[in-house]
Amino acid sequence: MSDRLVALALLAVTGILFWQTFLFRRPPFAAFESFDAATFPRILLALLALLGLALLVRPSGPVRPRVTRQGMRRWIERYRLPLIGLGLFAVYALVMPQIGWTAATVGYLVAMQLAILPRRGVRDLALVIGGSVVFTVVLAAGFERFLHVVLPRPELF
Amino acid sequence: MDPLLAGLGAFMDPTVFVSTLIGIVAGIVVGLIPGFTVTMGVILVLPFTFGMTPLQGIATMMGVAVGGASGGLISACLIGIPGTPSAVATTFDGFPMARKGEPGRALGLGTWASLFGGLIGWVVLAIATPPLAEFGLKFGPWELFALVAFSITMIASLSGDSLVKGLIAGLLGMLLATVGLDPVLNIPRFSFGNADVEAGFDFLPVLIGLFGFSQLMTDLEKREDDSGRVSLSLKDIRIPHLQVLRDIWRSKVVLLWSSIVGAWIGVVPAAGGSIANVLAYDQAKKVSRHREKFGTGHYEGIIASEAGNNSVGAGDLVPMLALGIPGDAVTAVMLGALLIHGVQPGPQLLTNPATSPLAWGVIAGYLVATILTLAIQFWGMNLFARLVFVPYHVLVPGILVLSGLGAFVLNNRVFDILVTLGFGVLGYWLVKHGFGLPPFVIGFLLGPLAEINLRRAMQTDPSLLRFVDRPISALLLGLAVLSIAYYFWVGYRRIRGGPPPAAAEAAPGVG
Repeated sequence: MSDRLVALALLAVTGILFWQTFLFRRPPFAAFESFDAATFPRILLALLALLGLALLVRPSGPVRPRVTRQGMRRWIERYRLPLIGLGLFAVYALVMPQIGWTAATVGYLVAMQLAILPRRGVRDLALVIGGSVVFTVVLAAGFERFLHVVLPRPELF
Repeated sequence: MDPLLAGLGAFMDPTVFVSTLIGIVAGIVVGLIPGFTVTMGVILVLPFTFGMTPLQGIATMMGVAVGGASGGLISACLIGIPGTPSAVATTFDGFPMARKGEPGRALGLGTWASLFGGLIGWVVLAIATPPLAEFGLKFGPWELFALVAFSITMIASLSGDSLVKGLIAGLLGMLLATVGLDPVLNIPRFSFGNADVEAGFDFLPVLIGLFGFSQLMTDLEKREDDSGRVSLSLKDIRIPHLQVLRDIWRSKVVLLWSSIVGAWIGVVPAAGGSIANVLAYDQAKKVSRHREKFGTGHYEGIIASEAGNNSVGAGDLVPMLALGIPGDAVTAVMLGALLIHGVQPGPQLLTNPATSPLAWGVIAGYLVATILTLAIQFWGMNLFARLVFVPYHVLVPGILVLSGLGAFVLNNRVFDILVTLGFGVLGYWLVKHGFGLPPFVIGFLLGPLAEINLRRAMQTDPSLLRFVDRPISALLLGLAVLSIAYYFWVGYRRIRGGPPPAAAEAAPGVG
């Protein structure tokens, strides 16, 4: 994404949020406050919009980068692992309340390691699963026993 | 002197001492693994400090910071990849020296230089902090607002290629800090009716997401796995201490000057170790009589870089302890930790009898941590050297789990893990588009301070002229303008074809 596209996105977001500041509740006792809850965010949004304009007019790449099949493939190849990493973490956080911290963590560790690991044999798989279980159990015991943290319990079972 | 001795005494408490030791070992390990920054290490140990006293918690984090600053040199020397950004310049001479068959000498030079740099930085910390805190007591809301403005502009102009992007990152951080309840009237802002968002974003999940996730995703993108690392024979790393100390004695001017440069950079809010080590290296080249040998495995290059990046840590603590303004991302985390422990940072931290022992404990602790780092690093050098080769497919998922756990522990809410993920995506996006993360974090941390002081100032006197007719406030705002002007001046010189700034000039082979 070129700087100009980033600037356009920034201008759009600041515009929406600026409009949002007019929806902030204004209690009657604060009616005569010159500097209310919306003032500071508005100052920041105005400055951000100004800087967004500066970014927009600055010399930069093309507004609409050419999308080719090869370029797309290269993009996917480059960002495959970060996207898998973020996606798996999102699934991990979302299923955690349902299946509990321990099961979610073991599942996440196994899935993530298999995604990164260059070669996968039976021995690798066994090491990954074994290592993930040991790591999770040690971590859970450490936090629950010594730091007295109650980790999420499963709601489903 | 008495408060310093009392601080040293507090640090000798067995629990504090052991916490520091553990922190140092963790710091060295984090520092030596390429791709894992010291900031990430400090963030990861933060949840473990919740059950500790404030001094014990800060001691642990300081151990990580000091150990990490030194640990970066191990991978820089052995595989030519800096363990942390603050060890970049160490690779220029450390790696060539190791490849010439002297890895022990390279590691010894770096470790001893780290000690001396840290000690010189500590002297600056101990001398400069108390008067600065006394000075900070004179600050009213106008000065405090101006100080935040100065910090944001400084970090924006120093931490990236583009001032505009730096300022945008800083202001975005400040804007996201306004999400939740307004600090004066308790009015919800940008919460969109969500009760969790109404409570605002806690500092820790934001920080873990920004630094931890963005770094790990960048590593995954580069696939810095086992295949890319060129190793040296690690059969027997022996450090020739006598030769190393002789080298250091011959380079005393370089060592002293690099350390002073590093400490000074630390005192300036925003400029961190990555700038300090390159600038110290560049300065060393200028004062050295063997300028042409830099970049070929010359001992002065390693000494300058490591002295510079270790003294900067002490300098970073000066504005944090004296004014409550973090010098870099690591001290920003420490500042957040103090807040979590219920300690309000600022000039009162050092001058209030109730909190002064803690502040002096931190100052004394830096000295203890610096000395301990030397001992631990030499003792475990062979083991640490092997850790450089731990595979990424084991490290990355484990650290991501620890990051999620760290975010969860703060409030026992899964929502905080989602906040971590959200800020992780934002952080990664910002990094990919050239926006610096340090301005964002400093903006997020100092945003509430700026808002509350601006409101207080406007309630006291609605005239904006008060910001310029009060000398300290006017000076700070003037410095903010100057930092922006400096950025444009550097850009102008670059366009005119003049000499590039020091950081660019420092790379070996140039000049």
